[in-house]
Amino acid sequence: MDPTLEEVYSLVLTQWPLVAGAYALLWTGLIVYVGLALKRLNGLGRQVEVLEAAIARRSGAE
Amino acid sequence: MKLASTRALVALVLGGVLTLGAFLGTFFWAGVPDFGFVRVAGHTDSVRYQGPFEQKIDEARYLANYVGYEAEIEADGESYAGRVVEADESRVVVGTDTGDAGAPKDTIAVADITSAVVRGSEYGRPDWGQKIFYFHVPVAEISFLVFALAAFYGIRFIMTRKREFDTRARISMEVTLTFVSLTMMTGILWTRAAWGVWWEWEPRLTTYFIMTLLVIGYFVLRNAVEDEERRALYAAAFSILAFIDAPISFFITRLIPSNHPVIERGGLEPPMLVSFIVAQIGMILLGYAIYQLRMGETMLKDRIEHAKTLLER
Repeated sequence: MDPTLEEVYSLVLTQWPLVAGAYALLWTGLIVYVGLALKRLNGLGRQVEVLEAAIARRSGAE
Repeated sequence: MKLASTRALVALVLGGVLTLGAFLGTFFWAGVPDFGFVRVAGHTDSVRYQGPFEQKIDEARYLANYVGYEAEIEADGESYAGRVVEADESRVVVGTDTGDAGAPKDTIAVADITSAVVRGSEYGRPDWGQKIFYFHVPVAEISFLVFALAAFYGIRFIMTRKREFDTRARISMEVTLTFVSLTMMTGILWTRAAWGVWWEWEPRLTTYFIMTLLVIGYFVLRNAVEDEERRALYAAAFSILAFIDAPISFFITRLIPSNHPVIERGGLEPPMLVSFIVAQIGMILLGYAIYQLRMGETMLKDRIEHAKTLLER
């Protein structure tokens, strides 16, 4: 690469790690938060089904 | 319940698509404004090339920043033209160094300078940190919106004493905390990129930091009170009082001098504006989806408790 261009790049790209860090934190934070919420929601949905089935069985037996 | 979950999932998918679109627009469509310039000794063709520069310098130590630059130097009553090879507080060395490795560096003069004119090229410095703004601002806006929602449900709880409103206020505060944290993290990185410091006690940052502490304080308060009724009442009152800081933080940059940028009408080029608006809509949808997901989770927990009670009878 042209050494002058290389020098220009080295001077103007100093903000890039911070920009990349900001986007990484933002997306990771949102994806992890939503992912965990969905996982918990699915787990709870399964629990509800099991419990409601148990209630229905008991109601039928009575 | 299922309808709420479906709405949440639709909002999540739409919000995800829009924020992804805004992300692509931000990096591949919207331009990058220049933020000052950088100087180099050589010249190369680049879209950022602004032109040559010439600067007068009176002290040798400042010339240390211009090693390799073309210079005309007046020293000891004589004029010398060449490149700055070396400079410190007391002397300057001017030579024929072309800047190329291995090229001869014959010294023309070693002297104390009285004045020097250095020449080189100036290139626009792209403000890459501005890319953070496309998502930092929408995330901050959502934090204010959801905080307002928490205060609204706080008022509703005080008026009606219905447990549902306390739950809604708590979930709103939780979503506020998420968005406040994201705002703080992206903001700190922007501050470092734009101002060169990690933090500055200026009006917007200070009032937003207070808002962050108040949101954390809300959960500390909830955990400190055992009685459910009193906990809900205190939390509702606290969320209303804490919300006073939100409009202060939002409008403070327009009311008193602040270093924090303010978006002005017509201040963005169309590609930047479109990407920014799409990011805002996407974030609103994501905020709504997160709130609905958490509400769905809480309602499911209630159903489980209810089902367990029925089974235990």
